[in-house]
Amino acid sequence: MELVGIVVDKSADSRRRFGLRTRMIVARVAQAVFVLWAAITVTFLAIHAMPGDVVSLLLGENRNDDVLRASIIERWGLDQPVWSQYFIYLMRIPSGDLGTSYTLRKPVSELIAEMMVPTFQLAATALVVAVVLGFLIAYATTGRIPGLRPATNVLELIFLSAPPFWIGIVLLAVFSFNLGWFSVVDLSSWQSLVLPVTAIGLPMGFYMAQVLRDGIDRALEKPFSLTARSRGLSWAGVRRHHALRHASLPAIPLIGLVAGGLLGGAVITETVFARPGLGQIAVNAVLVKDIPLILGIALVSTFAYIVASTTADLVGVLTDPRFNTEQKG
Amino acid sequence: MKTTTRWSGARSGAATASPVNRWLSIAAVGAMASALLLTGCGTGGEPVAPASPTDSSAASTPVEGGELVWGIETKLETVNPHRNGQDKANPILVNAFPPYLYRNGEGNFEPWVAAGYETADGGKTVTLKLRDNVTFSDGAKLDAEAAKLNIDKVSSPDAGYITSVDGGLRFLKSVEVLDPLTLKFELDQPDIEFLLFLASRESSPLSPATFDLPQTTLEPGGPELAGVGAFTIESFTPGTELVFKKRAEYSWVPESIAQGHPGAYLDKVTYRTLAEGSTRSGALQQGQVDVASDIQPLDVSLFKDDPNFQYVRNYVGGLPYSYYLNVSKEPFDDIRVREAFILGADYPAILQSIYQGAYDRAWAPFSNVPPFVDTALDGWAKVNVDRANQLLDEAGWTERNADGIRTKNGKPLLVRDPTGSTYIRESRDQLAVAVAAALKQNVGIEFVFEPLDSGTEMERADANDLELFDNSYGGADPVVGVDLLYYSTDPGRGFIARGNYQDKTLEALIDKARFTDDLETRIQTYLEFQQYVTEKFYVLPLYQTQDAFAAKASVHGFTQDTGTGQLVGATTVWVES
Repeated sequence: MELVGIVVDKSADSRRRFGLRTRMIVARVAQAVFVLWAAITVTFLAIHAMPGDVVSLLLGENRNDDVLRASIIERWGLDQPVWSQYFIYLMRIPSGDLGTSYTLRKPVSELIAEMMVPTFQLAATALVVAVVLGFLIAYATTGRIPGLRPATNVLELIFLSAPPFWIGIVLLAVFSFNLGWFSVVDLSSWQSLVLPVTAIGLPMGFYMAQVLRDGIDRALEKPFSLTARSRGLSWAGVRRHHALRHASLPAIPLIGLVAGGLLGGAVITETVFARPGLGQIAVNAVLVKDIPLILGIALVSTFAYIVASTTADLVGVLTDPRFNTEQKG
Repeated sequence: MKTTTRWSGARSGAATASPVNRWLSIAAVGAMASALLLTGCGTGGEPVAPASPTDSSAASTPVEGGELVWGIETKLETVNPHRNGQDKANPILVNAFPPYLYRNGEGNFEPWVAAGYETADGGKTVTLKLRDNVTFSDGAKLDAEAAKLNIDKVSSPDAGYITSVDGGLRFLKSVEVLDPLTLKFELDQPDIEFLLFLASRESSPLSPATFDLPQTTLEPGGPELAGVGAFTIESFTPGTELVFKKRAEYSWVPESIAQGHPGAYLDKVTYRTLAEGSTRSGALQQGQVDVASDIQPLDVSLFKDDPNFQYVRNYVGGLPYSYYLNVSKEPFDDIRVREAFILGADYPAILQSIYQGAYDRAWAPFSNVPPFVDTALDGWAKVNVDRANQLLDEAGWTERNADGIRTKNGKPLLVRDPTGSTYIRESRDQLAVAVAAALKQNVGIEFVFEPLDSGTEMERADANDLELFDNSYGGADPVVGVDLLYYSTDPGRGFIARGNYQDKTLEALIDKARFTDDLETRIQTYLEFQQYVTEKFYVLPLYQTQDAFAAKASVHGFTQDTGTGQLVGATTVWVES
């Protein structure tokens, strides 16, 4: 249906297309920079709107000591007006200087680089699990196995409505503390990844499955499915070769969104499973108003989100045949 | 001199003693025993009694070597001993960074890394003698110059190294190197807090070369730091994991801790942060960790009643968890209202219902730890609802609003306790809810516990916008906590004196007990102090804070710091092979 009326214009010069692509990429980058700037600005404003004088928080018991106060103010550049601190911060970002954490006393860029590794491991593995699971469930439940679909629906409902915190605790209680299959303590082994990955990957997998199944169902109602069947293709074949491909299109940007949101999920999961990572330090940074660290994490998580959604868009463009052609007016 | 106490994991039938008996027996044992290995076991759930040397059964020979994983609640921010401000980091960091002196349970100071000390001029001059054989883990020698360099670093805000000068250094005037092993400190006035500083890991010396490290390595700390401990740091991940490995040369330790074995037994100790109480308990049950600190009340029975585990708890020194009543404004400017608040609820019953016996009632304003606690205060404020109501009537809170809360001139009898969320532990929020329910029902006081972020909480405190402040303050000696919580005329000392007492009589007592090194004077003054603040109903002590941990039965040799009530690191701990 969708392809009717589109003429593949083989003679269209590649220069024009190249120009379009460049324009698109430039627009994308500009958009990304804007989003990053907006995220930093909003975070900056929000932190400074929070009550509590930073110098006093840093000084603690010694907040009435004038000499110490002066040395703190000088060291962290807190004598500057807020707008000036804001511009100084913005100016330093391109050189990779994100300041030094008030509490952990390390350069923020170094801390983030260190903590990103375990978070990335967790998020990437969970994403793979979610995608594989999503496709498998969607494929299996659009088949004609009786009872499978309602059973899956119940599971979906449970995993999508249960708070991730709770799922994590249940997994821990059952598989780590009762059955003793996976240790939460030994971080060097792959086993410590299994439960946290399950806690994040399972709900996401069910979410993906819902979207995919919906797409498959709709594709199967389309005339081309009937045509394919009439040509002698099996149900499974139709689902595999036609419906699943159609259903993938809305799923790809969804993967982007989900991947971007993984960092948020990591905050909770890392707390429950006592894993190191960005989420772990983010929670503490906010509690103690560690401004450089909060800003750094906001920056990195926004960046991750942009990368994920841009990648998803690009993959979408590459996989969707409609984007490779031009409509002739 | 018997000053430390050990437990082994063997479940001998050691009788558990009440806390009072416990201290009496410590005194008795202290007098007669010298270096006996004492045992008590976590059998009863009562604070462990180091009552009698019944360790013969458990006296299997200590094992050298091995590894241990220790689950802890605290998320360690830095591991620089001078920079870390976390109370619960003390028994961990002391593994690599022990102090010059050791303040024992009798209130005296013993040599640790130092060879000894002398005071002169009533405590205005302190001479610290160093041992000849102490080396840092990088091979450098701890001499008087190195010690002075450390003192200079931690006492001068200008150096940009510290953000908080220890209160004990407040009156330090000068430091002088007398000879390669002797250091002389001159103070503006005698100050017991200075000796306590020398007995805290904040004073633990770092190698001169360590101070040449870049600021961003020195301040967070890690394997690069060279200290004088029985262990060195192998790796550190902030908020997650700290790994120590044994250092063979270590031999400078008080005999009361060493018990004939100065160095560490274990080759490696890993402190792993598991912030959730249930996670620590679960991990210990499955053997994923060997020791778990801060066992939650509900989990106590898991370990107490299981022969494969041991459960141990000790009262922590300092000041117990208490409510400090803000006397500078209505309604607590009226002593009758303060008395009514304290008599108006059955606090022991409330504590029992919340903690099921896992925490004990504190009666005195000081922790139930010798030598300063006033045990005569036991039971001093028994619930008396009739009297409380009568007092409130007399004070003019006679009307009631629609919720049944007393009012005066149309204003409800409201008591608000704003508290920093990061300090809420040990189910303090649930405790407050129970207290509020009882006070409302019994005497018509509205008590509100308000968890806040630290910034908001600070603003409320600055604006004196609170009627009550809840706090517990641990430490080897009450002197630091007393200054912080009661000395309200000088905010440099009474940083959290939110009771706003502004009471010169009280402060004279505080000064008298602080600015002397005479133990007897301190004991007498502190007894007077505790009488005074309870007679004035300035404070409601609630429960004894404690160091509670559980471990596999195969782990032995836990040694308690009799001053702080915390453990003295992992140096004496060994594991059955």
